[in-house]
Amino acid sequence: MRRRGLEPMHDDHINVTPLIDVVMCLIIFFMICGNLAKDEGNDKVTVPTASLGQELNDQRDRLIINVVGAAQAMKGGVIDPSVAPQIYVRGQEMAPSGLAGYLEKEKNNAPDLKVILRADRELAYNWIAPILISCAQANIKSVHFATKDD
Amino acid sequence: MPARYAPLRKMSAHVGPNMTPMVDIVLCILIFFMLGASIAVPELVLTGKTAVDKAGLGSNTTDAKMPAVRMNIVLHRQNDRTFVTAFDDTPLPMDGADSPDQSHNQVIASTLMAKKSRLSDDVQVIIVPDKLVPYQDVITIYNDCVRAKYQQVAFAAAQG
Repeated sequence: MRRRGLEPMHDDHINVTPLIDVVMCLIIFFMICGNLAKDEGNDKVTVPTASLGQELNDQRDRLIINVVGAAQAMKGGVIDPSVAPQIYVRGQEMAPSGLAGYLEKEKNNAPDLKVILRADRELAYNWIAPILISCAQANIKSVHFATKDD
Repeated sequence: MPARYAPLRKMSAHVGPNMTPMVDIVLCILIFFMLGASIAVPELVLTGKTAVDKAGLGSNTTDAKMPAVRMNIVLHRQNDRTFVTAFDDTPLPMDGADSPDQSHNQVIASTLMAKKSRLSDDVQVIIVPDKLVPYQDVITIYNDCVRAKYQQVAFAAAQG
């Protein structure tokens, strides 16, 4: 006697579970990348214009220093050199006096450290010079200046 | 006579929540993030192996090798305007970066290029900005130096 086995089950729906898994992973990836980029950059900084700026191809061992302060530094169109800007490194505010030590530590961890200086275009040079000196004290030879196309 | 019933039709059983709306939303979010990532313009940089001369010329330099020939580009601020004195020439006024008339800046750029043609390749140019000079003007001059193909450009940065 021939026995009838169970009939195979047919589900009319496509199994979307793997799709959701992959898509969720991608969303988390993009969200984390977005947050990292937000930490590194600073949308309050208006970088200077330059015609010869180029994309930095090698993004390894880079450290972005944001120097924010145009709103405070400008008083009726005249730069007030007495108002100190704020320095942000990796989303954390940093005192100018502590910058050299921080850079030295970073340099020890990454010998090929590149510094990208994102400073507000309106800032007076006397606020930029100490940062360049800190880079020199930390023996960082590779200092780049963030710009935008004019 | 017993009634004959038609056999039951096979029903497809779908157990669980309806995932379709969720998949729709999740895909929309994914497309949003992907477009956001592609629209974000990468930032440009003026690259440099910059040395810093801590006290102007002559003293307390970094260990970056300084060549024998060193020339200054002095930037000073007067009446809300930056003036450039390149290699002890007469001071030239700079135009603001937002000014539609960039004729002064073009003169400065062409002066730097003309000077470069008469100098050896190992000349080091030191940009010496006054402390009130806006960062934009410093970068404009640095940009001009890069355009003129000066190999070594440093910034004077007096401490204190």
